[in-house]
Amino acid sequence: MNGWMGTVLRVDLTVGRVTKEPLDPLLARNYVGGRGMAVKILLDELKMDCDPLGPDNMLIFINGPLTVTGTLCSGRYMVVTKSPLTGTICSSNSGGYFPAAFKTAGYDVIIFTGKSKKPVYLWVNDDHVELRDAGACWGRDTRETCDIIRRETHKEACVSCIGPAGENLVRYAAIINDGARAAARSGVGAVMGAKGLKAVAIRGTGGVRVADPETLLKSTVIADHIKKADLGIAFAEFGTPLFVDVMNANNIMPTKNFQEGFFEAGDEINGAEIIDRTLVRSKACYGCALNCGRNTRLPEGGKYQGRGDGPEYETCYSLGSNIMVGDLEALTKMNYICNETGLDTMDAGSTISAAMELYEMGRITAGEIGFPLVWGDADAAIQLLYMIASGEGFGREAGMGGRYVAEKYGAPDVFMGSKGQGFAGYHPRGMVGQGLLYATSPEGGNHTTGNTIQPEINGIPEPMDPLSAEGKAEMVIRRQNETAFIEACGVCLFPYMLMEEGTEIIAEFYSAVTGLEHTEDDVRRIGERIFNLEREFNRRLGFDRKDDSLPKRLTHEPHTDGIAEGNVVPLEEMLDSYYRLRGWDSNGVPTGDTLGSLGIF
Amino acid sequence: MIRIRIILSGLLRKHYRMPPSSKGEAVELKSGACAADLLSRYGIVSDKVHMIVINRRKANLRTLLKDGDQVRFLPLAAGG
Repeated sequence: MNGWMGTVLRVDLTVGRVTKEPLDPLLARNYVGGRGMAVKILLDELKMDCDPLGPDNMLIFINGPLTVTGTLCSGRYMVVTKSPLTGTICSSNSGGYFPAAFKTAGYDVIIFTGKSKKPVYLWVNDDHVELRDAGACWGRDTRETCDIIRRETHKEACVSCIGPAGENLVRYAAIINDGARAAARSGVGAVMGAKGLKAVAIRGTGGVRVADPETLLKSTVIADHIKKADLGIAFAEFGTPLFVDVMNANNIMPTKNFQEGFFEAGDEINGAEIIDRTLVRSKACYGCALNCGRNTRLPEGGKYQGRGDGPEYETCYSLGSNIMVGDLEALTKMNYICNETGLDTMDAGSTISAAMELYEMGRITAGEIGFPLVWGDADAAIQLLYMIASGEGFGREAGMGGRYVAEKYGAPDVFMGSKGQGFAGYHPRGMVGQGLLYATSPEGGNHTTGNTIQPEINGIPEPMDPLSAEGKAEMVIRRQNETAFIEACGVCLFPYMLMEEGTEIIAEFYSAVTGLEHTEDDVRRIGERIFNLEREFNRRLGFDRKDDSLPKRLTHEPHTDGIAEGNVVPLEEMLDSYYRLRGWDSNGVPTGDTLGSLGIF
Repeated sequence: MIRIRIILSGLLRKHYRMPPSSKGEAVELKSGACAADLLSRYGIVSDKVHMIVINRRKANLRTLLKDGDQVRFLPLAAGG
């Protein structure tokens, strides 16, 4: 096979057995890799009603056929499982260098089942695969774990691991690889912790066979083009926090738990401030032309100390504007804590912002939390992050997620998310298509199942009124299908979603790598198949229209800022069009004809 | 004369060597100046500017400036 390595690793943690089996070529051809192939495996094999944190759940590490092929930005892998946060399918995506090691060791997929009696980690050194005792690193943070495992295995090993948050089953625990890259969302780290699996360490020295290497050389031309384009230069210069300015200027920077869309202190936590105050150097994932990562250090003598990576834009929103913290150094410290303890910064922020609103409402007291929790109090937020990761006191409840906390304290409407997962940093009242995208995402509030900034904010490829429902269903469907295919390929979303001709390019690369000729329409159709299969997964668990929802704050409380002032998200109107165009019934269930036409039976 | 504050976001700040502060800088212009005049003052090419915001409101090149205005020029954006 070209592109795919052709081998699946199965790890039964209950009995401690590792087996290898050949990859089914038909599975690869129809579902590509990443979330596409993984959801098919789960639908075929998973006991659907399993407890996500029980031994019956399956945890899948998976790359894609384009991973490490010389294709532009091809250093990604995904973790796919049944989420303990949402109860739905979930797929969490990460970069760095671990994905390259994973693929070049010779594997497309690692499927973990069961539950280990004692903590273990998986050590993969090319052909050699074994489970090892993780006693020395259980309880340690992600940085220490990485160091210990490298000492125990090989200095070139790439390590993907959980921290205390995953061990303590925080429902939004992340899996951290290469020190600071994160498969962060939906609680994939908690599933790993529940299985007693502390880490996966891989050293890979092999290569990947591709069908048409000459066409792939085009990748270098495109990389050069991106590096010289304004947006490419901006990514390298400012990283994703560049967007703080833009979101604030458009009044779509979620602030004070989405009550507002403009953060007064935005200029204190943007990409320029990071350059001036904390940046050590920019960082790139494997095969990247953008370098959007930030390696940072807190200044000596300051209140907060440490060195690490980030924050990314999403953290500037979730632990910055949305909890009203405008102190870059405090925000950076919170980002370090999340990376070290293995927490998703986005749902950590989403939960804390809900708790702050509950505190303001008097629904929860300082006595119950252990201290006052007022807007903008960075030290209180830092203390709460440590409590969440360790499962201490109120931290145990906060570790169940924002929806749980909001419901428990009697104000479910203060949770700003969908299907139990907190939103990303784009306020839907000022870009209503993003609201439709959140509502219909298979895993709820999410920024990687497609975002709508290019069409709704930048007007690319065509100007679009961000406040109107017109054309949004069609646009969202297109973005979701394209994103599903790109993620399945094992490459980064950024360049392909930013370039107008991104889908055409990914189709060309996919054809060149695999030798299977695919057009733009072909790859969109595969993306549509993947998206429908995820929908089918959720349907079997009882999810339908009632779950494609947004908080009342977005659908009934008018926006307070800028051009979107007075606007709300017309969700039901958009949903009707969306279901019709998807070929789903009015309750959001894919019809037999639709599934059949996509080859899903 | 009017005194306004100009802020360049993202890449514009790098291109046009704005001082190392995201709070921008103060500048004096003749009364009746518009956003385009401000761009000219800094030698900024207008096709590099995707969006102009004056005092948190979207504006355009012809928008007249008033004393005390805060004017922000932004390039294209993306998500992250």
